[in-house]
Amino acid sequence: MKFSRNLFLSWPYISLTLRHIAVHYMANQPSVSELKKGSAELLILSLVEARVRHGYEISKMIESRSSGDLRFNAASLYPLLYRLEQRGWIEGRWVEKANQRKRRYYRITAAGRKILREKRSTWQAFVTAVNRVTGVENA
Amino acid sequence: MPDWKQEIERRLAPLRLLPTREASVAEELSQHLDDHYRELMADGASAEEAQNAALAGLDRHELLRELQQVERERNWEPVTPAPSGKSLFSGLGGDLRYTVRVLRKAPGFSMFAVLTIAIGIAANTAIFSVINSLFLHPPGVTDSARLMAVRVKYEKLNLKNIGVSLTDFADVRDSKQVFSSTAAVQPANFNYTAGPLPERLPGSLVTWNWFDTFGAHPMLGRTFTQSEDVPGANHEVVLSYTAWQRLFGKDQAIVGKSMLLNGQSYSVVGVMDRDFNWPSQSEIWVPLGLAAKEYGPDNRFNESYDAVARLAPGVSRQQAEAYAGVLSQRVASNSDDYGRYARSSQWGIFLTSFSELIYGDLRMPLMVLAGSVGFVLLICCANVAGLMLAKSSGRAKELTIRIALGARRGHLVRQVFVESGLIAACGTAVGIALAVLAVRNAALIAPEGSIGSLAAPIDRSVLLFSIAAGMASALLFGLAPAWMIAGAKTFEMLKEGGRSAMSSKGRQRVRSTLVIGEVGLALVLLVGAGLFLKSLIRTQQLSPGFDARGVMTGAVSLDAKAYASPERRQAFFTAVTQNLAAQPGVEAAAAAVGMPFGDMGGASSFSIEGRPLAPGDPGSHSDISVTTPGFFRASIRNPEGSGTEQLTIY
Repeated sequence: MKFSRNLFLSWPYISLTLRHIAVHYMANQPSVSELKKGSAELLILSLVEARVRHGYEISKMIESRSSGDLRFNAASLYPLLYRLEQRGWIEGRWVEKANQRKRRYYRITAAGRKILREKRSTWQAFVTAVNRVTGVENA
Repeated sequence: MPDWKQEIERRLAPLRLLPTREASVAEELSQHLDDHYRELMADGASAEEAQNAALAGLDRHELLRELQQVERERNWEPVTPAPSGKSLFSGLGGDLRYTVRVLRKAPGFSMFAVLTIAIGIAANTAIFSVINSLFLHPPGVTDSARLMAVRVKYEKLNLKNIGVSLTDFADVRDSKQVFSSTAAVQPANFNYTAGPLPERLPGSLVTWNWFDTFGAHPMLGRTFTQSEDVPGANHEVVLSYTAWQRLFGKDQAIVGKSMLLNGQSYSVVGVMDRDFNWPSQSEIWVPLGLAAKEYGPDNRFNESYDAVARLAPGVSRQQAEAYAGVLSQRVASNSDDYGRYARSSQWGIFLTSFSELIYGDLRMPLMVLAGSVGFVLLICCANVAGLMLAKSSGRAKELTIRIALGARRGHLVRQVFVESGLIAACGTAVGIALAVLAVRNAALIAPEGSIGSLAAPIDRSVLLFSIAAGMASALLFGLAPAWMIAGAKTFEMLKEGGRSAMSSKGRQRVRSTLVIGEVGLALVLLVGAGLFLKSLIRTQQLSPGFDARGVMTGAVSLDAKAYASPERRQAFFTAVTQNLAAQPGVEAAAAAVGMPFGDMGGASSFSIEGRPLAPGDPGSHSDISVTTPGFFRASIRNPEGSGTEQLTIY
């Protein structure tokens, strides 16, 4: 009951709201564009949850943690970072370290943490629902 | 390393980002490409392969599409909540959230604006809390607007406003159809010797219904009964909160216990609430305990009391004032000596509001102060309006684009007022806190006794006033930027959008007007403050008619039983003054009931020996001070007054 009535699980919502997200799957993987778009914000928020990171670091972390299955290109990563910043979920700040080039680091905000909790829960519900439909759980 | 920035800026060009924004995005993207390039090179790619692969990740169309979406959201964000709403308030929440974000992004501006308004609101709140406490809601008094002070005047003798005699009081007291309750008071000090050191307690002798007339209730015990306000039975005392706290350590079981006053035992019957302090400085109240004959016609023109009366339900102040005139006329129309004297001196009873009597002298200075702090608030508003104008000039391009994209001008104007409202709300909150501190500290640094009874709490009326002042301020300082938006022509805005708003003639005119207004108001305040200081200096230099330097005063109250006869009292004062005069360094000593500028003597009629009265002359009537010989010569160093040298105590 908890998840079946959850509006966030409805397909129209996902296709409507996550149309900007562009996570590039490896070419030889099947295309699941709706799914990967929905996950992009969750990925970024999760990565800056523990500590501040710059954009390139975020893209490399996604790639390495997914063993190369998920990749962000710059053209989609940075607009997404700006959008999350605009929504007040993350905050970017230029930091200059000794003998290093000035970099823009992102950290999660209190509002971002709240959203991250919600997104994790929604994602979990989504995966569970898909598993139920496809019978993965019982396989 | 390839120079990515040029290529990135070329790709970003169609977006027409603000230069600072474009530079920031280009810098970040070029760093990303640097990192990627370096990594590809490390993996063995050639320079050309690495450059091509890095740039491939920055697909031009994808980048433009995504960034365009972000930038559009960024520009439209403030407009999105309201445009479709019909109601004035629809989308207000969105405007508010946007304003919070805008203000948080400009902390310097926000803090300065809030503090500026806070100072203006604090000054106004502090002064209004004093006005409220003195004139609108005196502490401890229920429905103060219906509490009147009964006063007497002698027009012909130029005595415009003095206390009443017991006879006058009785006339008013017995007019039950007009006054529901009437009470009289006379100041009295009591010797209290039960403490670590003997001390004189400032107190009051009151008629039994003193507290009822004020609508005041005791915190512990009760107030007086009618049977206690008769000769010999008046050995009860009601304590003030201060006395209860100071003398008895807030003893909850104090009621029923006895205390020695002037060597006699008085039973404590009650303790008043902390806020009841009438007359001010009074620490204890004792029943007047006078015989009925004291209220008879013989005391008609001996004014030694103050009286208050509460209007009966349904009786207006005008009706009561008219009735006081009737009472006066009744006395003046008598054919006896009292009637003749009342007519010839143009005597009369009249009413004035209680707070007017107590704080009437403060009304004008307070009104001047209220006007001054009003000016301060106006200056603050003009300052913040100027700041908002300057700030809005930095957002000219944003506003222009929004109008061009279809944002309603009314909505943009509303947003200005939401911003000014938010600043004013924060300023009001901070201002109220500052006002509380200001009033508290003013009471601490004021000379003792000057505003001793003044408690100026921030009650509901003060809060409402502050909120109203805050809202008025928001309207005032939001007006100029709002007017600029409402009146600006889109075409002109588009022309000027990219440039500094300082180039706009209209904007400059508004700013000039604000500055001229500010300077004008500041000048008025400056001149006012200068005049005030000058008056203060002159007041300090004013001669009271005698040389008060080196004169010291003390007070003593005699035990009524031990000094029952005039001879004993006379002997006591003669001995004390002679002893004092014999001390080294003392030029002369004297005793008096009633010091200059004091209020202990009362007023009475008198005649001067050897000076017959002309027909129609009512004779003399004045404040009376009973003194020992040498009072003028010694105590106030006035050698011209050395003629009155006979001590007689009646």
